[in-house]
Amino acid sequence: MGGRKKASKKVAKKKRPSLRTVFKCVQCNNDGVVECVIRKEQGTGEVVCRVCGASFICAVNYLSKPIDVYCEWIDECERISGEQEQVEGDVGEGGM
Amino acid sequence: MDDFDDDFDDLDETTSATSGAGGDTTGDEGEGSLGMGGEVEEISQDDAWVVISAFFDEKGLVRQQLDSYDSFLEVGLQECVDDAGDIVVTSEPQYGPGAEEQDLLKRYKISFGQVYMSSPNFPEADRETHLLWPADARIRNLTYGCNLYTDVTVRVVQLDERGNETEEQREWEYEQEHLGRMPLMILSRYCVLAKASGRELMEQNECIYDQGGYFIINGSEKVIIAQERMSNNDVYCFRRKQPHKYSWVCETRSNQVKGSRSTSTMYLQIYAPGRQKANCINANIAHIREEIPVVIVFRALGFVTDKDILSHIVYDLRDEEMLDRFRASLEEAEVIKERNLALDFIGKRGSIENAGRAKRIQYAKLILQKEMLPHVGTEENVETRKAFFLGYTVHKMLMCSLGRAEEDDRDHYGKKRLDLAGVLIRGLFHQLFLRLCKDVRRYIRSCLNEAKNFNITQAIKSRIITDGLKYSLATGNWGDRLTATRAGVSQVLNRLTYAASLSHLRRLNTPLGREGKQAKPRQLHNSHWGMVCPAETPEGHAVGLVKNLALMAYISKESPSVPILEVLTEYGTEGLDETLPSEIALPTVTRIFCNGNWVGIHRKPMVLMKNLLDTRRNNDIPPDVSIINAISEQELRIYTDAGRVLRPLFVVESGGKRLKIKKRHIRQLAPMKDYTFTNLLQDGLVEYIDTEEEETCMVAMDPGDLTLEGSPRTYTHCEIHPSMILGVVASVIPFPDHNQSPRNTYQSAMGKQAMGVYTSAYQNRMDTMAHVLHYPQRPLVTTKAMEYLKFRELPSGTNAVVAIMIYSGYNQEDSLIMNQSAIDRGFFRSSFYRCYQDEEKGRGAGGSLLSSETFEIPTRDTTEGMRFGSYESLDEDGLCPPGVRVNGGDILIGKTSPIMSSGADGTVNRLSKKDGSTSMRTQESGIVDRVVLTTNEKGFKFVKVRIRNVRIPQIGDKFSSRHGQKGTIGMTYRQEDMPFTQQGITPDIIVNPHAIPSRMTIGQLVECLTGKVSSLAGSEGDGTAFNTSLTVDNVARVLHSLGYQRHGNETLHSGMTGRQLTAKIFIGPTFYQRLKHLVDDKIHSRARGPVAMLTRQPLEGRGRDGGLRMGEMERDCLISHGAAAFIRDRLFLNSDPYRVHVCDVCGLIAKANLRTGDFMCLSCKEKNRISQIFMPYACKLLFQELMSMCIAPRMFTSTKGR
Repeated sequence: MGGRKKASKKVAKKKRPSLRTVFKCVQCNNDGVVECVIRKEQGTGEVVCRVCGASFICAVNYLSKPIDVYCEWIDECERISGEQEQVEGDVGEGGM
Repeated sequence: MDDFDDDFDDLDETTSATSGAGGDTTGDEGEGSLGMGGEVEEISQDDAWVVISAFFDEKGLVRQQLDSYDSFLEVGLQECVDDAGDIVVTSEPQYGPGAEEQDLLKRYKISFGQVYMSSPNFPEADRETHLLWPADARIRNLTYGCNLYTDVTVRVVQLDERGNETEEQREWEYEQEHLGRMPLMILSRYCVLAKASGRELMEQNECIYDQGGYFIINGSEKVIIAQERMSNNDVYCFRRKQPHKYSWVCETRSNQVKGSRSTSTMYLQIYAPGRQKANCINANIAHIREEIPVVIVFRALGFVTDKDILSHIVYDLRDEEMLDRFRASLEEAEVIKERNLALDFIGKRGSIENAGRAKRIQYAKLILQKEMLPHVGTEENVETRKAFFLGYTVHKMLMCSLGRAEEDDRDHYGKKRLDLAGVLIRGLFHQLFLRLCKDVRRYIRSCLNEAKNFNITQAIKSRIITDGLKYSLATGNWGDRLTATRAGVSQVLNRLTYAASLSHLRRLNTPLGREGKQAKPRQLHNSHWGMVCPAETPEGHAVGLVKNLALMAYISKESPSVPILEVLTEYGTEGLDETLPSEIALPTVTRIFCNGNWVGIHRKPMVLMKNLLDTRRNNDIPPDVSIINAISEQELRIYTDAGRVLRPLFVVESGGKRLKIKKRHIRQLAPMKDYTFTNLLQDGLVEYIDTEEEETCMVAMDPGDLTLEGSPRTYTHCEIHPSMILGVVASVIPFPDHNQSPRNTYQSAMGKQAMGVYTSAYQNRMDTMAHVLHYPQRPLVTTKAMEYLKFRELPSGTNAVVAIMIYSGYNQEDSLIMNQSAIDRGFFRSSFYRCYQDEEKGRGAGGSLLSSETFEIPTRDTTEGMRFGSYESLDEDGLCPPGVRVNGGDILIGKTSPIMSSGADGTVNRLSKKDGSTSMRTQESGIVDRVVLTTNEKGFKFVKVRIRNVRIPQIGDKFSSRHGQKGTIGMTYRQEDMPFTQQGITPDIIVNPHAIPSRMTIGQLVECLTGKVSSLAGSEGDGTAFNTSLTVDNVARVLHSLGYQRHGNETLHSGMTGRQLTAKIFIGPTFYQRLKHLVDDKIHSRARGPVAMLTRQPLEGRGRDGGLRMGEMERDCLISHGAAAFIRDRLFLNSDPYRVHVCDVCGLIAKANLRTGDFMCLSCKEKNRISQIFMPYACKLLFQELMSMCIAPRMFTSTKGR
């Protein structure tokens, strides 16, 4: 009676997370600053950090997405650091 | 073809073998009991009713509810507790001041063991617990339930310096710790009434016909409505309407049968041809953010080569067409040729971020193992089986895409599952128990961190489960209070008529958006036959979404699948792990599925099917397991899950000519109780068939059809009786097969509003509202099903003499003329009961004295805020005694609460109490029927007062026949004014003939005719649906032989003039119902009256003496008439007129004191230029609200103002 109607709460449907296109920079550690350009005709993909300018280029195929190029970069970095430290190579055990 | 022949040869051998064995056993039985006479004698249509009676004797009408709840208490409850696992808490290092040495860490492990239940009881507020009867729970507003206890084991493990567990550990056992209270379903196995006899029920103030199946929460009866959903673990393929990205999509809602993991759905899509990625098949996997080409998923599962993959999908590698269709998918995944590459491809698209390759591969492996298609398995090394299943889904999609298989039917009832009380409560309990565990964990951790000893009894907060269950059952919001969950799962049991209650207990709901325009899910589907009532559904927004179970429909309980798997292996099923994919392509090989999971293959499906059916009919596997041999799909599916709709059918002997059940079984059933419906099931004479299995059966409608000339020999089953397709309320309709179908639907809705005797214990109950018909009668024309619905014992109407004629014109437009003299004799008289209740808040145990209320007679010299009604009828105790006549507004329960007698500023208030009495509804009057004074859950004094009121039929009251023909009384005539027959019979009701032709309710006419015969012959007419033995011709012949006009017409004389009426009038007894809509409860008018506080507009509703709204459409009418002054009158003068003063300078509302003549605008300090204007109060309110938001609405009285 005369009371104010509660505004109906809209249940926000959980949005399915989509594939990431911007990433954390491997060098400067800023989040969401690495962007990717895939050049299908050249068969190359490039990730560039817009803050520190670090970049990485690799070969791509038609199924590749930005995340593939970025992951390639991470693997490359891991490989290099593994070579440098020459200690135990792969930690192996996943946290999952 | 050779393979096929072999298969059938084998089949014949086994058939002869088994039937030979079966013959021996039956022979023994026959000799033992009844001799050889009934050995071969076939049963008749009438004998089917003996079987039906046996069914209802054993099962009753709410068996699905009771069984579902029982199986939850017996199995589900313990499983929920076991599934939760241990609560593990590790103490954290403590750094006390001055303490140098670190204590070694301990790990606490708490596990729950056996769960116990008490008998239904109630802990009184004064701590004494005693047995609780349902009737007490209803009257005292308690919750009928029992306590749950569990054994708890606490283990303490000493950790060493590295944090590893050492051998050193101690263990404590706590027995029967209180876990919470579980509401009990009435008449379920653990209910106190479960084994009570009729006499005991009466002694406990229960209805002897009550079927149970509901809960009592805070005194109100709650039904859990079965919720419909799609079945899990089945593969569905749907065509996408072009133009669309995909041409076909495929869904698999995968859910582990055991455990309480949530479902994870896998989607597959085929890209539409003529676009990018034409014909490529991609998959959506849980937790993976992008669709993955299905070939990559195969490679990730370890099937790398093209040939391996193809053999799992196409099976027959000679199938060029299918290979061709799959080529695009293979080519798409050309670049990912190794398992690790494929895993990495999936892992990269998962939810872990910035992880290295090894981690990603590990992650992808886990996702495939645990999250993809969990029903196939979540343990290690399930890759092969998952590949087989995935291949099968892709195969199915390809078959669809190639046009070799049909699209799946979303609305087929075999694909639906019904979640009943047991399943729903289990889900709720699981949730609550997890929350309880979390709470225990938190409590123990905080105890450990504060270095205190913890008490396990304190740690287990029983309130979580008690309150959680009660909340959901009381409100119907299933799930957490905070998160939005589905509403309306639990409803207040309808107690208007006995049939209405029964129907409510058998209701099904489809949780679909009611706004959805889509017609398909609302339509009656072929597969509803025998499972869902074709007539009973509400009209309007929920039409077709809310359904009702047919009379003999039953809902399966979950049974373990392990025994089935053992039987399958025994009968030569080859497991998938030892199967070569190429073998699947063989034309005789059939895929075996159990609960949607592909478990193996079999080379002789007909033999296997035969064996499985025999096992089920021999009661070696539960009767509610369904076995589907889908020959066209080369699949044999077995389901053991809960929620399938089943119904019993007669089994037909192989050969399809004779029923297995014989006359001698019927003889055994009829007198002796030791041969029951279960025995019929165990002897394989009758079996439960679910909707999906029905698709593979050939069901005869009538035993006679089996032996009919030229009938096929393929019959496998026979209907017990076709009238069993109807639901509870539709079974009350006589001759429903003679009515236009919507009329049966209308009656199904009205049958629930009819007055009757809703329970035999109505005198002992204190329902908020109840109608009881004074002289209910058994209908003259009955249906067979009424026996089981107790309609004869608790009827809801009267046999009225009805004439279909025009007489004086007061029965036009669905109104009726009723015989006033009959009314005076008690025709359709009824009682109306209403209950008022109140409690003394804060009194007794646990209440403080200062705020406590008191039942007493309030006096004017001590009490403020006293009501306008009369306090005369109150007795000394503040309650009105039984037998007193009370009128609208009178006080029924006098109650006061103390107030502060001195104000904060020291002023003394003369009055020390405030009135909190309960008064009668203003529109009603009656006699105090019963007063119950007791204590409620909180231990407060608690009272219920029941008022009785006789309702005599009068102009405006609503009545209906049983054929969707409703009408209100338009006129009553005394007997002398009513038309009369040759014998001097006057009708009780005169219906207008216009009600018949367009509505085509022939059933009502047949009922009338049959009723006439039975009233004359002194028999009961049979109006059961699909009764081929009763024809109108026969009835007419009998009527004629009794000396009446054969079609029920009679010559009538006018009661007014005495003249013979020209037309012959159709007259005879018809069963009529009085519906609950009575004019006395509707009559309403208002001139002046209360207004709403906020808007000062008239209130709404009859109960509050509200106004009648002049709505938008009515306003539109006035506008179209140009009646401006009238609009002003309605919308302003008679609504919320208000006067404000406005500053001419700024246009804002000014301050005005009319008595002193002081006016001032507070914003511009203007004192003279102020105008008085009139506006609706709501308008003034709006302006003020705008001003509160810094919007200045300015009003000017002239255009020159500024």
